Amino acid sequence: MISLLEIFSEKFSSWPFSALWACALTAGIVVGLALINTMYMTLLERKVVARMQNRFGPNRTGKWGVLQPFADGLKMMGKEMLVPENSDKGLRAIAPILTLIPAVLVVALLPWGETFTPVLFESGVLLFLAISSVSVASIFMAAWSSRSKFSSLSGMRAAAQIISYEIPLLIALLPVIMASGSLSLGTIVLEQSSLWNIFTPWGFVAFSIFFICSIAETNRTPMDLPEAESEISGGFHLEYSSVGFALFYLAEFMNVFSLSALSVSLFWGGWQGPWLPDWLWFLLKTYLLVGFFFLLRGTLPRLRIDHVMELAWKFLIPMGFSNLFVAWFWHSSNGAFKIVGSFLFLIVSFKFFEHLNSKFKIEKRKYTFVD
Amino acid sequence: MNLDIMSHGVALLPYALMASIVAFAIGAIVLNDLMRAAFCLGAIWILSGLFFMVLGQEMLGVFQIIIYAGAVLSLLLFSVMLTDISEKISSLQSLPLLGFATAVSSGLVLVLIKFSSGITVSDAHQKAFYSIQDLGKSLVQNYAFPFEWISITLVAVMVSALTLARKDQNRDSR
Repeated sequence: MISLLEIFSEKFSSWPFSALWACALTAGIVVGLALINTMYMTLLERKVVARMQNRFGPNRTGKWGVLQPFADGLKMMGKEMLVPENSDKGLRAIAPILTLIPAVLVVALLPWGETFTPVLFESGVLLFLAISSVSVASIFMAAWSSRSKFSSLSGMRAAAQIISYEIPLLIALLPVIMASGSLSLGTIVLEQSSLWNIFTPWGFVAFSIFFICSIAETNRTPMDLPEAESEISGGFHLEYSSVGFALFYLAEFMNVFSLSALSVSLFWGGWQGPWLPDWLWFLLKTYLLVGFFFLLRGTLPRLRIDHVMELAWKFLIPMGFSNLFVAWFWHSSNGAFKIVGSFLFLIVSFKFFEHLNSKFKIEKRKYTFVD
Repeated sequence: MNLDIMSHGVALLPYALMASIVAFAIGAIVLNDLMRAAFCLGAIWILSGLFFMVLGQEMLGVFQIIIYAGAVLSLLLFSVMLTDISEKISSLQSLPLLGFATAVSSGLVLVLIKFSSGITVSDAHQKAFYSIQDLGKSLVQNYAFPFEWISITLVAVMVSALTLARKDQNRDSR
């Protein structure tokens, strides 16, 4: 496999500062792709949720509302940038920028097509997770520097939730890395040329765990506790307006896209598919998962924080370890035995962990009514 | 990364990273605001990871970022958030202490320069010969004992943390 950066550096090899030109062009393509994708994802979400609520959604700016993202951007930039008097102004200013940087960087690691990977890394999966894991620090930065109680609560919620869900997310990835024997996203996609991982029992369970963790990692409904409007009024971006808020908003959508794209590369065969160009297959599959994020937003109510944490620690982590065993069993046995055995073990472990969790009765809420 | 950045004339990058790491390290020590100091520490970890990557040690850099900048920094920030920092820490503001710290760190830098005078960045930039299989094998064969020992220590730390965090029921009932 060859990366876009290598293709450009070969093309510009006769130019002075060829490496710089190649880097600049690759970076430009990555940023452009990330921004255009995100802008139209916001429109798509509004359209999907609107149809679910029997509305039309934005349809006045351009045909079918296609210019709505630009109008939203202009409106955001025209708003007043409010800064709380007691806030830590320096940290507060750089927090949204630091949230956006990792979100854009991970787009560069995605294999968009057979010859369309912006930058190739031998340990691409790990690097993706490493860059994503840094985003929690910038959320903390925004929460702390705002000097607001709601924001601080949100920072704590974000840290607890994101760290907790990093563990099952990593455990869900292990069977895929075991099966392909590589940490390179390109190799993992190529290894699925005969059978996509999602069509194996361990792959299906790993994908389910990965997808649930993705929802928690991106702070999306029903696990949007760090932003919960009805409880903490938006949380860490409560004190942000104008461009600052827009950057957080963009970063959240970019993370949704990149985690969906990572799922596609790890479990859904990446850019592979018949008849259509490889990049189109990649986008179609990714947008299918992104659409599922939107459907969940329009359908499910917000979970309680203790339920969210219990799901990670008491169910997803043990289930991830069971799945690791099933992946080993799948690769070390043959015939009908491996299919029946894998399904049987997964069903038994699912029921077992469900039974174990059912013993922990969730405390009933105590309502205190105002006189 | 397959593209050799160093050979394309961006040889200054490691030095820029080193200078930034030193600048943030000074910030982490000198800043009075605990949260800002913690963020400086986070920047050091991220830049160190990048530094390893630029020197060709990709895996080391990735793990540096995942473990330190991802997990440890979050825990550090979490603990700072729960710390009562209403009392100002003024010990570092005193000039003699700052002077002492500067003298010690300058001495350490001089010692480093003295002992690393023969080593250049291009020496350190060697292609790492590793694979996941090699790493896994060496972990369970050569380093099995330290690996298990660390895991036991971690379990002990977790149990201790749980014990400390548990509610003291006798005190609550009083």
